[in-house]
Amino acid sequence: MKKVIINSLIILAIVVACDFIAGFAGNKMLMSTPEVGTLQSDAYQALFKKKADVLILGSSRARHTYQPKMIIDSTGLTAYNAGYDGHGMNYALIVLQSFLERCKPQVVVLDVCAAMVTDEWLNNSIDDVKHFYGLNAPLTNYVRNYGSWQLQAKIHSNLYRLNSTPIWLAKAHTLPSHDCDGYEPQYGNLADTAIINFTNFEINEIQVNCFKEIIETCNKNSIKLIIYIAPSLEVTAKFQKWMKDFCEEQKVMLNDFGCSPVFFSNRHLYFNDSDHLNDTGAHRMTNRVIADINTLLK
Amino acid sequence: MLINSIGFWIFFAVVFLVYYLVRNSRWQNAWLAITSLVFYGYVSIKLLALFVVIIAFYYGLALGTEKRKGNSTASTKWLKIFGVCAGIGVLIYFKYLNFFITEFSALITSIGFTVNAGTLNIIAPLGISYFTFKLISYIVDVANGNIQVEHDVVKFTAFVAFFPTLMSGPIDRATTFLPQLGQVRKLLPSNISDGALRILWGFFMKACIADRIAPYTDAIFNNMSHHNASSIALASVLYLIQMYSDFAGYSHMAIGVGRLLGLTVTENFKQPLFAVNGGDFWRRWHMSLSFWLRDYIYIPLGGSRCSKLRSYFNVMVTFIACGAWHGANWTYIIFGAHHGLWVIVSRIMKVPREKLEKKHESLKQSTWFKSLRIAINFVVCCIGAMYFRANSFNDIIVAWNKWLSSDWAMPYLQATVPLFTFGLLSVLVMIYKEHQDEYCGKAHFMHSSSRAKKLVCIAMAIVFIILTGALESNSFIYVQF
Repeated sequence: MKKVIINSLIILAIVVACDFIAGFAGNKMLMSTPEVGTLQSDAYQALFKKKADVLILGSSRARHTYQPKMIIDSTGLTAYNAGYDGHGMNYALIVLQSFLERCKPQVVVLDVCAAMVTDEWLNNSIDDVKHFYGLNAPLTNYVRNYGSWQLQAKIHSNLYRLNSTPIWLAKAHTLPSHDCDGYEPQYGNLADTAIINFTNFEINEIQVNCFKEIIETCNKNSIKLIIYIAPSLEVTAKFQKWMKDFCEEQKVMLNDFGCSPVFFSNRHLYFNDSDHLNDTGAHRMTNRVIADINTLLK
Repeated sequence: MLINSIGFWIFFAVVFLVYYLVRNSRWQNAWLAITSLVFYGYVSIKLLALFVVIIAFYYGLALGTEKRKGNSTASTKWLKIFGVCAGIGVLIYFKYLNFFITEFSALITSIGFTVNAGTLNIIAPLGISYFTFKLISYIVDVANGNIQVEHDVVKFTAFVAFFPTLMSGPIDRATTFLPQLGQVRKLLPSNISDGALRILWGFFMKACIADRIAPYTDAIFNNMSHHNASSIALASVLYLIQMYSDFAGYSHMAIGVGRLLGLTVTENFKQPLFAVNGGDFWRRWHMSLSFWLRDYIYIPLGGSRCSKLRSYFNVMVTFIACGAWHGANWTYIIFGAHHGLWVIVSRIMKVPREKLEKKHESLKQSTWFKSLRIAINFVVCCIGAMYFRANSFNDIIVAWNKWLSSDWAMPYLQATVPLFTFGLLSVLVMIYKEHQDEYCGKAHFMHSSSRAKKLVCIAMAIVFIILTGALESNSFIYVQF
């Protein structure tokens, strides 16, 4: 039995040493992630580097809908799209808090979809950026406050935190570098134009608390907040009703384009797929956002 | 509570500590029985009651069988049949009744009558396919006089409900498991190291291979009609590897946990990817089930000690039962029939192959000939894996239509970077290890005779799993059965 214990201790020592080395090397690599337009490199830019007057937050619908370049050209303000595929309100809050550590945006454009306030994306949002735990204060605080006990136990391991990171890091370091403001255009045209109605909608308390905290943070810092529901053929009537009530209660303006007739009547022209606009649709939607920003800042 | 979750390991730590604190086999068995029932009740307290009733029923039935054994062989036989039918009845009610209702009403509708048959809201108890098979084999073995009846209800419960194998097997036999419960289990260093290594290898297979492949196979099989022939072919190959890694991973972990508790659990896999024909494959794949089917279906039907045609019929019946055991779906029946046919073909081919080998002596020793046989068997098993994974019978038709068409463009490879980097690297490691186990004996990697090499390999395996594995406690394929 003595031998088993000694062997176990040796194995543990090797694993701890590897964990330490991986953490040290991983942090160095992470903090020099180039801007290449991949999701993870954009997350790094949003959490650590970017400064902007207009900050766009949300999920993939934000990422494929709002064009920062158009906003910059029309308003003269700097803009950045921090939308991330499959990420919820918790991620949006972390990005906003990270931005506030570097600069104070004048306007926050928050695009909300049903999955952002349910538990559907609660864990992905953190799982995809957990490698920044300990490096980014808002993310670290979020995990401490809201993370499950399993996550809080596991995240102390650098190896766990860096799980799968070598793949995207290698990809980021080999792709050509370019600045892309976070927007990712889509050029497809929707073939199947049927509207899909979803009936299931159940809010998640953590996501709603994060939503409230975003509103509170904007109010506290005198940041103008505009909330949108981007056009989508995946309609959840219960969500739209909940958003209307919630925004009224929170006294914030909601621009619901979820079932917008302009986009719905030309769906083959404006949609890439049932839940995302293509570049033409994004252009049209961004024009509307620019008009709203101009009105707000007058 | 999955075996690859933190919750399970906390639960197991408590079980382990108390288990070795009591130095009496009766108390160890009582502790195992209690914790196994708690484990079961954690999933559903309602189903726990049913589980306990089933255990009590078979316990009583076995005692009744023993009592009548001396007096009348006819009544023993009837009690055995009753026990078997009760087990099959439970399985049919919980797993197949809705299937029969749906298929029957579809049949009636197809011949022009209208029926309004609704399905029943039945929730199948966890691990039902495993514990009913355990119980059926127990009652048959008692009736046939292969084992003594177990009078100790605690020991019997510990055997049936043994928590590491409760959800996904291996299906232990009373003949091998019950005698182990009669002895005091001591904390032995060899058990600790063997058990821990099995668990580690199981984790590797599950997290680094099965769960890395799963997103790709799910993407293809859940939208079969949108993918081309090559994507479906690639997904079929990957699914066989995924299914093997997932199930063998679980089995390794269950056997490892058993070993830590001082118990030897039945082996379930023996390098099945190196099988050379259908029969060989089933002697290496899900061995606890295939041997069960051999002993309790194939041999009672007459096995191979009858005419050739009859023995082929016996094979088909056994394999269709094997397919049906997996669940109430035509895809599983087709999976079983496919493997049954392959076993028959392998048997038919045996004579010409042996003639050929006699004619060309070198063929018997030839590596390429063996590799060819392994490759052919692998392809047939990949087709079987497609039947197994297909969501419906229609999907199987879609797959064959695509394979027989000229739709063999580049396969879908998007968004599969982790699979085609870490995943494939892990598959290569697994194949290398299996190759070493099959042909070179256990003196490599974590089993190296050099202590330093062994410890570094174990540590590196842990580092590799944490750094590259899919760690979010995904469920196991065979838990659903």
